[in-house]
Amino acid sequence: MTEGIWIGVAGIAVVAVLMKVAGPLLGPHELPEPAVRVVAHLAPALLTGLVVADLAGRRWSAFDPALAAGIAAAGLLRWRLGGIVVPVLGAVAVTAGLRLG
Amino acid sequence: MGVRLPTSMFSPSFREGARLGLPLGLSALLLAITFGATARSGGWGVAAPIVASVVVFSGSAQFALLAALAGGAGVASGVGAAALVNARFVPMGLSMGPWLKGGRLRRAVESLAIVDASWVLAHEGGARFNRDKLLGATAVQYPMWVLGTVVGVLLSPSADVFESLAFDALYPAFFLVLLMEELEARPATRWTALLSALVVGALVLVLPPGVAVVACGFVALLGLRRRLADPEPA
Repeated sequence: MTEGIWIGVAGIAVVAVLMKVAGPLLGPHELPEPAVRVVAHLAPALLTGLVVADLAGRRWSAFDPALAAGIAAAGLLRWRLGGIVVPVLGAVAVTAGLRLG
Repeated sequence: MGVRLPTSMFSPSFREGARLGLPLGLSALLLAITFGATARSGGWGVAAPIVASVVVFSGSAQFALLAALAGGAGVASGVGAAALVNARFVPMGLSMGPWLKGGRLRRAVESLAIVDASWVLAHEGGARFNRDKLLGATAVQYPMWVLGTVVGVLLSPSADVFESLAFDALYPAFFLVLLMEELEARPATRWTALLSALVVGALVLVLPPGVAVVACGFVALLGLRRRLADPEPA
């Protein structure tokens, strides 16, 4: 078991490094125009995916209405007040409050 | 007598990245405590989780290995899952590459600072990225990630504590706020965001969430459609 853990840690370390350095090592110094347009869409695509994946979990088994309400509160606070910290703390407060209730 | 920090050592963009990265660092700390505690209770011992956080610095990959080993799926499955989950770093590295400094080797080393939140914070529109902001944001998050793992391994707090305090809301709330900033700056990408939500929402039915997120890279190909391109800021 212990040996397997260490092999696994070494394996994912190699994987993480390779995935991160692949672009700068193999990619061009300047992206072609179509790639530039794709990159502009990458951030919103990735962020949306991360929010949905965090909310859903595997087969939507992790979906928690309290967490969903908290995230919605963050969106509302960001829309009305702007900023980062207040909406995020608002999400934590709403989620925790609903779980306690 | 006050202590004057050598702020001139770092560029304004680096300091801005570090400032924006602070709340993300707190999230990293809490998530890492969960990782450390779960790994310890899963028989990883003390050293392996800490070494993993030091050399891997990828929560999604570390949790993927943890889940694979805990579920008896084996090391190869765990490493394979981590590779799939981390595949999103390839396009992120490609986009960041031209903005990093030095030759290929130095740019490769600097690219190790790429994590989701730092990459998004460094995004300045179109294909433009701010290298110093990326490094500043990660410079805060990395030590917090390692520190959190140490705390989690040594104290092994119950997962119930984190759920009661709703710390699991931190990351998705951050990502939503950053998404709203992206959509305000580049309204044409809202269709990409909507499609991404639908695709990932459907894929988690058959794939682990971390793997489903990789599909976002393909959704971003919508950017190839010229009419979905926002005008570049001057």
